[in-house]
Amino acid sequence: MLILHMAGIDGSLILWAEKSEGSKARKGRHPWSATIHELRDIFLILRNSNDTTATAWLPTTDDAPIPSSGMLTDIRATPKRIAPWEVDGLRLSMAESMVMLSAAYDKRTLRDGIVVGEDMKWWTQVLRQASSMVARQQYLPDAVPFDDQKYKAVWNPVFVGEDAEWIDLAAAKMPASGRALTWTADKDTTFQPAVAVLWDVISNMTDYMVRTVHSDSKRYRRRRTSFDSDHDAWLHSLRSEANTISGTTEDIQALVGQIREWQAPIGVMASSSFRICFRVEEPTDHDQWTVRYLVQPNDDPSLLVPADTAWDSKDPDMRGRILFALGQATGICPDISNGITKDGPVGYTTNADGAYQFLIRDAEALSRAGYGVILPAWWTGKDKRQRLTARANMQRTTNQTSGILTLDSVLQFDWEVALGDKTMSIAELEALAALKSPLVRMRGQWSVVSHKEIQSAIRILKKGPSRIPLRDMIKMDLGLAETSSDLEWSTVSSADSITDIIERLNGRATIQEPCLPKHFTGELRPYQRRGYAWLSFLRDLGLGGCLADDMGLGKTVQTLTMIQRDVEGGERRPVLLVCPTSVINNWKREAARFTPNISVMVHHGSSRTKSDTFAKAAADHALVVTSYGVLRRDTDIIQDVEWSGIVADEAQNIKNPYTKQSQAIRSLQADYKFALTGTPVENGVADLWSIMEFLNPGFLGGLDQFQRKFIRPIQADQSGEATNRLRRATGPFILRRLKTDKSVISDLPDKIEIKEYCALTKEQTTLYASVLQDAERAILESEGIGRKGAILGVLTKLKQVCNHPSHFLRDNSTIPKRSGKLDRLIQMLEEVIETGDKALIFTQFVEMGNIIKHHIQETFGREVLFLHGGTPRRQRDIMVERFGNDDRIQVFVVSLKAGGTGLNLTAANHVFHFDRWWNPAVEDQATDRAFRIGQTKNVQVRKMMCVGTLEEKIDKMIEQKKQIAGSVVGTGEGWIANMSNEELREVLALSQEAMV
Amino acid sequence: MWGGYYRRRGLKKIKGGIKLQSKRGESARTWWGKRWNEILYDKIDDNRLTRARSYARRGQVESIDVKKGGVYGVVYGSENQPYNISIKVQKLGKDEWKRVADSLMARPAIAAKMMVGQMPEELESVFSDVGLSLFPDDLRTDCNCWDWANPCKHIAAVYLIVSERFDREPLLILRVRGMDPKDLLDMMGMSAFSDVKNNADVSILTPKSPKNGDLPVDMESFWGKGVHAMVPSRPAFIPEVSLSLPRQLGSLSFWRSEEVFMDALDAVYQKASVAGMDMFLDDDNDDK
Repeated sequence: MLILHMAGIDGSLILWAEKSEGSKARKGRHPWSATIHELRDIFLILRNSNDTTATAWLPTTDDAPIPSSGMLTDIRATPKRIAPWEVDGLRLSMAESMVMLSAAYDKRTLRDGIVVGEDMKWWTQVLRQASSMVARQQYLPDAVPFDDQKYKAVWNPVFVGEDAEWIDLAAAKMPASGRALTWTADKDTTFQPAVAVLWDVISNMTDYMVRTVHSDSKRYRRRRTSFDSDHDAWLHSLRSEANTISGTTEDIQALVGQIREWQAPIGVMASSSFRICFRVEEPTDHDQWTVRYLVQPNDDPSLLVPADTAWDSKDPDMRGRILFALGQATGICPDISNGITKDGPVGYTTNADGAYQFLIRDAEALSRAGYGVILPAWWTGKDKRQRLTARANMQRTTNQTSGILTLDSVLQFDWEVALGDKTMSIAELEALAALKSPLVRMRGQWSVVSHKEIQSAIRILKKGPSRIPLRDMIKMDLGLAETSSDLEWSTVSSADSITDIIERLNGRATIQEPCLPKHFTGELRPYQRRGYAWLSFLRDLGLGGCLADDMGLGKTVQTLTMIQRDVEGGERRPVLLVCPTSVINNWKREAARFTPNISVMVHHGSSRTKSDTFAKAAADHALVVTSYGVLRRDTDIIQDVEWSGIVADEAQNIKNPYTKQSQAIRSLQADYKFALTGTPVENGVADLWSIMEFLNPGFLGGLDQFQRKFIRPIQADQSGEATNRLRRATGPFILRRLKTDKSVISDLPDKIEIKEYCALTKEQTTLYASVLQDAERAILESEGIGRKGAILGVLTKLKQVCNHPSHFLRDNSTIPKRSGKLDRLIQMLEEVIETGDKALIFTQFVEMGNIIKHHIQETFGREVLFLHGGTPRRQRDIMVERFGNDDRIQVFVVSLKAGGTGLNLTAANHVFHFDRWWNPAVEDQATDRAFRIGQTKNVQVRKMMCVGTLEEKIDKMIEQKKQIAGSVVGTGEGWIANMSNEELREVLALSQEAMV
Repeated sequence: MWGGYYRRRGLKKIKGGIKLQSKRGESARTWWGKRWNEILYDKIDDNRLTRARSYARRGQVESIDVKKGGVYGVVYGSENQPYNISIKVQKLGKDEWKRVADSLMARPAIAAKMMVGQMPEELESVFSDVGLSLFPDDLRTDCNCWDWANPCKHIAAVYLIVSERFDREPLLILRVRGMDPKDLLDMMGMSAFSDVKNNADVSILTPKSPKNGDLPVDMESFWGKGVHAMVPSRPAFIPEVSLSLPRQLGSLSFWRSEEVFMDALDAVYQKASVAGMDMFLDDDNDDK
């Protein structure tokens, strides 16, 4: 494992890393810093970057630096001092820095085992801030000295207003490691303050981004030293690769003086004790708008004093400062000088057109320059904005004779246009259109109506009654229709069944719960009934939906109930369920448990049905379960089946629209489609498109269109407006309940126990079989204590195989993708980690605990605690304390004989039993580390076992015995050893289904 | 282009002389620079003016000192010894400046523009309102060269360079007329804002930072505190109106290049907005 670090020196970033394996190093050398070679291997672009040796000043014990993270060591010492250690590093160019940082943005690892250190993570936001400032044009051309008597032309960021707050805050929170690198190991070294290091880097980033916009022009590479004037020289070096300003020292110094003077107002503004605000006031009569000048003290922003009142205050500086600030504002909005009279600055008056120009153009520029701007509520939308809206006035005489309403049913309706709540005639609209300014007063209320809107309203009204299919009607209602793009859209509600549907889709009306299917053998909690009703409602309409309930809330059972209802309703065509390989068995088991009437066919593995017979075999079943991998390979034959529905489980697998499996699943035809996922899809806007396109093709438009309409506006300004539009458009198709929702929490038991069925990999199956083969003779040939020992030995070996081949072989071989159980664990932990929950993982084996700990760390780049019998008492207390109080520690692996009796780990709300004690009392005791007094959340307990192996069979036996005896079966595994050879063979044998 | 006169006598070459930036014709760009030059043009013949421009462009002027009430300069011709020239301007008296200050106070919009380095044309009327004139009516010039004409080409060379400096620093005219702009603002009851620290070594845009110091020993502050260290960047957007920061500062009135300053910036700013936005959204197409 490598933990990457970045530190700024002289405005460049140095990349260096710590690794997990320490080696003997010569004196002064960091014992586990990564070599140049290891650093270069991280990314292709680093192959050519400059290598360097630097001194890292690190918290140190007596003789060694302390690793930055618990991921690198089990026991962290307490630092005694800061000491210099020599490390290898790469001195990144700006281009390289930016590639590295954008790759690391929002990630904990660059890939398995390459962890983004906290300091590097901190730098990622610096790049984002720089890009934001470049986009917003918050920078100025500048000139700064370098070397001796030389100056270079640069683009420097300007930190005023919110950006100034940002740099203060970011500097305050900068990890010291971000500035702990120096070129020499001088004893007297002092360290630059965070804000200086930060500024040096962010100004270089800004300069690089701005400068390189011209990198494809000839001028960019051209070396020139002779210019007509010093200004030409300056301009040239601002826009070319070489940034040194050429000319005589005297000329350049004069130039620099001018630049400083030119920029001086920025400095004066920053030191002012108040700011000027501009308030737009509506006309009291006629067409006279006022832009009023106000003074707002920094220390009491709630106070707004008219500028002419402040003008007469006793403060001797006041007049000068006010005039100075207004003088600058005239650069942005020249009209402002009209409002400065001999009695002081009052404000200027203007007509509706001028007011509109100020609102639409100057207000934003002034506010970015650090001025306050107070705009009418009807403009900013704080007041319910009066807008032109189009409504469909639906006639009751729609074609309902057939009785069945589908998405293709054609509806007839009249258009109606309203401003606010006033219905507008064509004549009234034309009168509006004749006005010069888009600012319009209606019934004493001002509003903005653009010409475009008016024109499209007139067009719509002139068109007369329209007929469109229900599908388009729904799209319009969701704000997705193309036809009404300029106008806000709202339907007129009536008792009509169509509006009823629309109301229910929007959640404005509740969906009636259908009866539970007869052959459903489980029970649904109230929120699960609502989910089932929702799925059924969409299914009946032929729409797709995404059930995004939190992990553990029972997405599987809700889906199965819906499928069962369909089957009982006479549906003969099969449903296709696509899921990750590791959960195929789980679906099979759950279906058998809740809907035993549904015949399930698993289409997976090398022995799966081949092309010619597949369609027929599928048609004989109600549910066909397959994996994303097989879907990818067998797309052709799967396409040929007539499906009633498609369900995509763990739908995050299709969130990238470009992958083959996403394309494959989108190519399938069916009456309805559902997606199931526990990770919040609405977080990634682009992900959402991919899933929605699978669910309801065409609803959100093409990806390009979607990007323009939603993705860019949302990611860019976070204004909430675009987010709301998207939510409105997709809300009806997503049902997400959190386990902390009030309506859910009351339905949930405090502790949910779930059995998690996993598959073996091919390698595991082979190993399992060979262990059995070797064991058989040993068991048959021994007797008494010897037999018992032999049996227990075999049990242990088989359990190790089920855990991980590397656990059994003890060969330190690679970990990923070799154990179905570990893969499943990682998959579930992804949701745990993403939602900020905490998990306990129990295993009987210290070796396995180590494998789990390291594998999770490498995958997620998060520290995982591991407590076992060998952990010293003091260390154990620290771990327990950290797990309870540190947000960053989300996973705790425990391997203790007694399950760690006495430990209080109630921060965890997930418990995983990775392997089994086959002793419910011991497992319960372990579970109770989380589920005990102090636990405020519901706890989900998962017992993991491999299907078709001894793990599942012994579990079954225990369940049966529990039912018979109503109590716990003996302790430990001893009772297994007492079985007859036949019984044993039965228990240990590997069933067909073990490997899917 | 030079006449035989120069070839015969040869001008003394001056290293690092002050050069007129403009390459040909009228050198002043601004209305006030032109206004200042007109005073000279009234007094000099075209031949001398042309030579004066050549002098100024070749860098024959070694030094210039702008004082209250006058300009003093050192100019080289073909001799080894330079000529000392002076251009004396009638200063306004204290009372007269008081009248100007009052006049300016009655029109604070003009004062506002002056404070941010603009030179509003109405400034002349501020003076005329109280019976005064911003520009001097007359000059008293002197040079120790042999030329009988006054002003001679040496005086004119200095004069032209001064006018070019006025282009850059319009309020310098006030100084020549006997008043530091800063003092004028004081007279108006305003604190001085033209008093900007002009330190060539540090950009004004650099935030103030504390002195160097030690690193913290405790692990949390040293290595970072996870999510607590994250300060989300400010939202990004492409502004409706381009160039608002440069516009706020005003155009560079001293601009000398053939390229229009704001236009040159605008081309860069607009392209960079898109680039910054792409980087912010991580939309780098090369990445795919």
